[in-house]
Parts: sequence; structure tokens; C-alpha cells
Amino acid sequence: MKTIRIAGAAFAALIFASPVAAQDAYHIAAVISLTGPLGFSGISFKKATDLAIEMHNGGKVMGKPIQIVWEDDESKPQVTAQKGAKLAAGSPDLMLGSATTPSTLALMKITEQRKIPHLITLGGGDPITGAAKTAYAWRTTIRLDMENRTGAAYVRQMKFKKIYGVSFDYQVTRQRWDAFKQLVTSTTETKIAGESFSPVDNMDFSLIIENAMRSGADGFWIDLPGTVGTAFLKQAAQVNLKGKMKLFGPVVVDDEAAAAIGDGALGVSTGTRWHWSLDNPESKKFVEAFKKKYNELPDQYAGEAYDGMAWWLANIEKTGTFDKEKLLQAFATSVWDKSIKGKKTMRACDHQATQVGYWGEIVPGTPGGPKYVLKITATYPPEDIFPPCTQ
Amino acid sequence: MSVVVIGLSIGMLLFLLAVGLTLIFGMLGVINFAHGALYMLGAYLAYQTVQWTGSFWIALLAAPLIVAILSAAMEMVAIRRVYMRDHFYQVLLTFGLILVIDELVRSVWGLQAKLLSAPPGLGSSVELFGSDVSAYRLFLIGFGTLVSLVFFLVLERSKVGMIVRGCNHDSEMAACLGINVARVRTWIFAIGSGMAALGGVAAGPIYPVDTNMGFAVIIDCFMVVVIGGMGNIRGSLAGALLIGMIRAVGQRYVPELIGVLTYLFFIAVLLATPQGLFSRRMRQA
Repeated sequence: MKTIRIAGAAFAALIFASPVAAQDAYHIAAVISLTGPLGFSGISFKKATDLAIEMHNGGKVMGKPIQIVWEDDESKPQVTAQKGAKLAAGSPDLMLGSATTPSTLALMKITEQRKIPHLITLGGGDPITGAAKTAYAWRTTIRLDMENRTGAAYVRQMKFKKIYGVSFDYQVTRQRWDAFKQLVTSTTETKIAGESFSPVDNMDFSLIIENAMRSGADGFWIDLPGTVGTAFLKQAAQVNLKGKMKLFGPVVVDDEAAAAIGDGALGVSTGTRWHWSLDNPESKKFVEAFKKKYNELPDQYAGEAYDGMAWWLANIEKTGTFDKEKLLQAFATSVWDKSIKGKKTMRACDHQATQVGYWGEIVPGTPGGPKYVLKITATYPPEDIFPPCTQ
Repeated sequence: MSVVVIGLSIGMLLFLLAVGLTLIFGMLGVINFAHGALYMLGAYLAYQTVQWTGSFWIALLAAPLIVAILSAAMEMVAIRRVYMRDHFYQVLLTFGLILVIDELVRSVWGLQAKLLSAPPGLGSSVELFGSDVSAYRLFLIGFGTLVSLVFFLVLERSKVGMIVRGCNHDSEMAACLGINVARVRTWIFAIGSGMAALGGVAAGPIYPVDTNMGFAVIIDCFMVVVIGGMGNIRGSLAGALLIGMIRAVGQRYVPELIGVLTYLFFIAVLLATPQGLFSRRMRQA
């Protein structure tokens, strides 16, 4: 009986002690895809965010310990909304997430209603800092339009005669292709040879590839991120598509995807948000810490998640307050000169951080490293890839 | 013409995967939701075998064999307990198996997609009727045809097939005739699951080997089984080829409607022949 009483007392102490301790903490709530098709990016996001917190004064901001609660949205917007609402009910000091544009937009509605600062370090859709922007959501990562502009710069450089395009049959990616076509045809001599839209669950591209080969295009814009892009490039390699035209896209391949594609990935050109090989002190510091903690190289999603979290925590220290409104006011004109991408500048007009854009190509790796590596071949300054807010 | 070749290759790949599902459902009456997870496990085991031996052909034999052995154990420990129960229990049990297999694969191989390439000689293309067609796709068509022939001959024309059909039709009578029905069922489950793994190995050079690959195909598999008539091997072959052709034609002319066309066909079959295109009519006494 005595043992039961002691156990009961200990249990009660645990239950009631937690909220007391929690009141003295800085609370972050995060909804991200840890499982499902986007799980790969969410896992990277979580690892890097945890690392950014750990690296910021040993997990404390202005003397308060940072507590973060994670929820998995299973790569589904409706789950993001459910779990986001649950987390928002606890009035966290900051909300993070999510991965896709629909999920992020769903979360933005919740954070706007509950007046919770919302940091977006992964979702790239244009409406997030465009038509659907809210007073509480701020994006530190790229926007898709920026990837279009780096892609268009590549088209100008390569002087393609005709390009073919494939993208998901999905609102955001269709809009991106339309915008890209408009950008390319209005700023270059390149013509559009044809286009195909594939359902998000389609994994076979043989005949779309053949359509492109018959179109006479010398460039192929591939807007199929994740494992779908991997499937496309595997099938393209089996008919030597890259021997007939140049393959490129906004985010069609990275180091990890190249490892799953094999030699078929060599020579494929792509935009990237960030890469571990970048030669600047902040990037190197992050890469070393990530390798030490997780024994692996961080990907582009990890880089953006780390950068955004580190920026927000620095914003709190600089502002010297936990007041949500004051923090947002300060963030609106914040400049992050310790970014792993060199420098990021927040724009008050659309809540979008301006930053450099990267373009690269898959090349063979060096002994001891990954077998295939993305080599950064071009860096575009913010003024070339971010139109003024009025546009 | 390339539409026909691609359609056949998609269909044959679907058949390799769905034949195991239809075998298990037709002969054991079990709805195996873990079939997609076994397909994924087969692909990962093939990746590992290629890493160790460097041979795709060894992987094509080893991965289905390993999955078949694991599945035989699974049948003896868990599946046989739900034969006589409602389908709801089978769904629950096999769904639980998905979670176990998924977690096992994540723990051993991680989340990143793995590379499984076509074997030497099949990684390039051949010109056929003016189109470049992947040599591996042609191999898939031939391999699928061979597998379907073997299944047909064994199940329809051999003593083994007679025993299997006997156990399915009247297990008590089969037992009275001295047949070890439990052992036959274990073999059927093992072979059906091994076929899922074979589908995973065959799909590896075309699709990414990753932890979500099982979810992506399981719906198509169930459509094949339903269109062909539950438990009908010939029906599965026809269903798989029909879906393959619809997907190929859709991809050539209206890629954005591939899914819509496939589901419309599925609904049309269900409305016209709810038992499937090749369902067997039961003779009433």
C-alpha cells in the first residue's frame, strides 16, 4: 500500500510539475511531415531545428529554456489543420510549419486567428507571401517564383531553341509552369515545344518522355520534386534522354536523389535552396555541427530550417522581449547577416526574406564522400530573382 | 506501337504484384493489406543483395525466397488464426503487419530512397517501330508472360494445382483424403507473398526503392484483383493488362486524366459485372 501511495505521489508530482516548469519556458509548436511522401524533408527539418535550438545558448533564449512540441501531419493538409489547431490551443510563443503550400496555408489561417507568430522555413508556394499572406506568418526560405527566375536565367545561358515541360497536375505546380513559360518566352528567344501534366500519384513517364523526344526540344524542364522526380530520371536514363536534350528543373534532384538514380543523374541541372558545400563560415559551422550530431550531411531542407530558426532566436535576443507583437514588428525589418546563405533580408511588404538563388549540376563525387554531388554552378543575387513587392 | 509496348510492361508489372494478392484471397479468403509492404520489403532485400553480390539476377531469386520464408512463419504464427474470422480481423491483422514491416525497413535502411539498377544489358534502349523503348521494359513483358504461364500450368494443369483448388473448395473433404490443409495454406501464403517481393524486385529498376512504394501500388493491385474476379489468375492477368493499357493510352494523350480513366474503367466493370470480368459461376446443386 505504501508503495502505491509513493508511486501515486510521484505521478501526481510529474503531472502538476510539468505545467509549472513549462510556464518558464519559451514554447514552440511545430507541425511538419515526418511520415508520408514528404517525410524525408520533415525529418531533416526536425533535426536541423532541434540543432539550431541546441546551438543557441545551449537551448535557452534570453535565459528561458526553449521547449518544442512536434506533431506529424503525415503529408496531409487536413491533418496539418487538425494538429495545428490542437497545438494552437496551447497558445505557443511560436508556430513552425509546414512542408507543402496547402498545409502551410491551412496552418496560417490558424495562427492568424490565434495571433501566434508563424515562421515558415520550408513551404515555398507563392501565395504564402503573396495573395494569402497574413500578419503573423513570415517566410525565411525561398519562394517558388524565385526558382522560376533562376531557371529562366539558366535557359538564357544555355540558349535553348525549344523546351518541353512536365509538372504535377496540381494547382501550385501548374501555376509555376505557366509563370515559367511566360518568363521564358518574354525574356528569351526560346520557344515552348510542349507540356505534360502528370497526376501526383503517377510514377510512370515512358510516354511523356517519348512525347518530349518527338517534340524536337533541346531542353526539358522537369518540375517533379521528391521520389516522383527520381522515378522520372530513372526512366529517362533507360532511354538515354539526357543524350538527346538537357534535363533541368527547379528542384528535380539533390545528392540523396542522385544516389537513388545512379549515373542517370549525372549532368542533370537543378535549382537548390542551399548546399552543404557552400564556402562561408556560418554554413561550414552548421555543416560541422550537423555531421557531429547526426553523422550525416544536411540536405537543403535542413539548411533552411536551421537558418530560419537561428534567425528568429537571434531576433528575440536583439529585441529583448517575448512580446509577440513587438517581435513581429522587429522581424519585419530584420537583416540576418549570419545566414548560411550569406545574408537574408526580411521584407515588411510581403513577409518574404530576400536571399541569393543557387543553381547546380550533379557531378561525380570525390573519394570518401557521396558518389554523386550537386555542384553549385551559379549564384544569383536577390535583386535578380526577387521582383519588387508591387509586382 | 510504343503505347502498346509500354502498356504491356505496366500491365505485366502490375500482374506480377497482383497475382500473389489474388492467389492469397482466392485460395485462403484472406484480404492481405500487407501485400504492398511485402512488395517494398522485396525491393529493399533486392537492393541489399545487389550491394553484397553485385548481381540483379541473384536478387531476383533471393529476395522473393527470403520474403516467402518470412511469410510462411507469419502465416503459422498469426494469419492462420483469422481464417475463420470476419474479414475485419484480417484487415486489422494485416494492417498491423504493414506497421511492423515499415518500421523494420526504416530501422535497417533509413528513409532515403535506394538505388536498384537494371542488370547489365537491360539498362539501355532498343529501337522498336520508330520509338526508343527501354530494354528492361521488354524484359518485363517476357518475364511476366513466363510467370503467368507457370501459374496457369501449375494451378490449372497439375496435381499440385488440383490439391490447392481442393483445399480451397472443401478443406474438410481434402483433409479426409489425407491432405495436410494447414501446410498447403502456409505454402500458398508464402508463394503469394514471395510474388509480392518478386514484383518489388522487378519494379526496382523503374521506380524509386523507398518506404512509400508499397502504398503507391496497393490500390492498383486491388483494382486488378476486383476487375479480374476475386481469386482468378487469368482474370488478374487480363485486369492488369487492361489497366496497363489504359494508363499507357492516358499517358500518351491526356496524362492529367490517367487516374480518372483508370477509376472510370474500374467503376464501369463493377457496375456491369460486380463479380469481376472473369468471375467463375458457381454451379448450384
